[in-house]
Amino acid sequence: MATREAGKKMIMLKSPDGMEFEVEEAVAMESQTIRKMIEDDCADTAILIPNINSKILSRVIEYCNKHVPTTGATGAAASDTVAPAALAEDLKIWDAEFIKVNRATRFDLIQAASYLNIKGLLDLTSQTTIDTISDNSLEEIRSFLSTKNDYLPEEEQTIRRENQWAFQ
Amino acid sequence: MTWSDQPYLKGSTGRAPPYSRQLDTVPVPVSIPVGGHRFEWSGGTLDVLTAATLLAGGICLTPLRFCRFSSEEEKSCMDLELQRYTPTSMVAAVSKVLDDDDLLVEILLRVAFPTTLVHAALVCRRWFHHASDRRFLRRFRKIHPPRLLGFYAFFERARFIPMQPQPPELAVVVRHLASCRFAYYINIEDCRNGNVLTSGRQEGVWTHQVYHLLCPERDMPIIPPLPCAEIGIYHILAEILSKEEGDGLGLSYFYLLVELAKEANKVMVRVYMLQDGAWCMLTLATSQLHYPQPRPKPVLVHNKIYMAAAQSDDIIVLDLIDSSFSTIHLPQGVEYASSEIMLSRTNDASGVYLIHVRPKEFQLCVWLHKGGNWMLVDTIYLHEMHAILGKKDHPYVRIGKVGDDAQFVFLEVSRYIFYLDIKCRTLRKVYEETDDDRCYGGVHPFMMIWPPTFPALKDDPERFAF
Repeated sequence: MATREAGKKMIMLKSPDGMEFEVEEAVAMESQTIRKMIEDDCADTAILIPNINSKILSRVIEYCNKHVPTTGATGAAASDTVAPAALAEDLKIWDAEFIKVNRATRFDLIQAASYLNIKGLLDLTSQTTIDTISDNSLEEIRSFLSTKNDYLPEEEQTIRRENQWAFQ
Repeated sequence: MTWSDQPYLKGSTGRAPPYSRQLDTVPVPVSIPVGGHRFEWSGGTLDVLTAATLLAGGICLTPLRFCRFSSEEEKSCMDLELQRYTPTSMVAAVSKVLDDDDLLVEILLRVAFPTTLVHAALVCRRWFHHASDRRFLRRFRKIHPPRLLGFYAFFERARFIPMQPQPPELAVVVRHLASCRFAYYINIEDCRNGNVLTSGRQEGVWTHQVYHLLCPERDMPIIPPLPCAEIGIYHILAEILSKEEGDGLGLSYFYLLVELAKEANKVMVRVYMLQDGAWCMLTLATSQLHYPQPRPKPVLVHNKIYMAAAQSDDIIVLDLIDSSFSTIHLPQGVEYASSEIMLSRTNDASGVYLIHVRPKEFQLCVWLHKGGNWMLVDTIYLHEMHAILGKKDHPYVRIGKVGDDAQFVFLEVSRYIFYLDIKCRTLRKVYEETDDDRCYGGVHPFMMIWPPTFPALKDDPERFAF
């Protein structure tokens, strides 16, 4: 339910494993999915976030708290005095620490970021997968992603030949 | 800042979490710091599994005080977290994401470089299917427009000069381009989406040819001889123009030929299109009023050709659909006589850009003609740009080439070539002439090619359907 605390509108997020998180509305609205619910007035009671367990949801909230403009974890006073570039750099370092989690958590976070439609978090969490695709051989990518090669050898050859600039 | 400073994140539950297997419970209340804030466990019991889950999430359960893990404690939490995920659950977490088509597309959209996209497409057929989907490719291009890899300029021969720095994903492409050399008699006429149109005298005949430097086996045969002027041997304007057909359908070449008509005071304009190895006439129009001039170079945007007028400060627009002419007067204060002007295509075909440089004032204006009006998009005072300071010993600036959508301009100042990123308003020196290495201009930007070539797979007949 929406309550007020220190003059800020609060909102309750519920995970399917029974946890409830009271967060500032502005923080919750980092999620476009929740923003839409709030704007469409579908969110007067607690919002149940299906498929995202409390562990992942708490991390998502942690991310949103940090990234909410001006009133994030650094506090309003800090953002008034710190240059935008320094703030962005601080966020980058924070993001790098935040994403130091194991692969399963990262993929859970991708799923959560996608469902909740938090672009920055999806960018951040997808990046490792993208780096894996960029930096590794096909065999390594397939093994990392537990995917089987289902190409006929000649098909794979054709794609390589047609796009040889990607392999030279 | 202590954890209790800003308690605006608060979690609570009035009942035990709904696990079917109730294990030992932890006494409450507990306070749980989450990312710089705490939330309070305000009632009921907390089972061990939930406690472990919270711990795994980096959350400290401390009944009496707020605290943060030391790094060692955090490490032990990570270990706990790792223990919680067996290889099977790792695979499950990965496949939950990657088996979801929408999520896979979201991830593929973020790979940023065509090279990486090709690698991704090779992972398996399902990935190929998504990477080669036309709607996907359109979205990809919108998010990641092709990057400028470098430019050709003419020295003792045409040479590729890479733009630095490039991301490692494109380094392989840039290296390849830098290693390709053209014969000394070859001029570059046009460069679009990896297609380099050249001209040169081969075996005594002036010949045009297209090179696909990144896909050499696709080099086009020699372009058939250009259609000649009908009346006499002189033309007013003759220009080869290229246009991307979109969605990877390739590039079309057009030939614009303007000459004096038989009737007095008229010009005849013909436009040919290169189809199946022959120049086919597309448009034939005569005009009494509009005499074009060859510079600034005409541009083809969608179905319209924009040409500079010779006798007035106008742009002549030839509509290829109905062979009709119209004119656009240059923006206020802009005239051909006293300034450097270049036209640039809009990528969405909505109009045309005009780049206007006052050479002596070092001032550059970007105009956009759209919906019948000129709009001043940007004014850049080159004097104020750090990169150009001290390099103006020849106090005159020329436009070398303009990028599509007025994204960038190559400027030639004295012995230097500068790259001006219009959108970011940054200017940087990209070439400096020396006594041994003289550049004769002829700058042609080379953009990364797009899209990759995705051949039809045997079980995938629907690929070309929208």
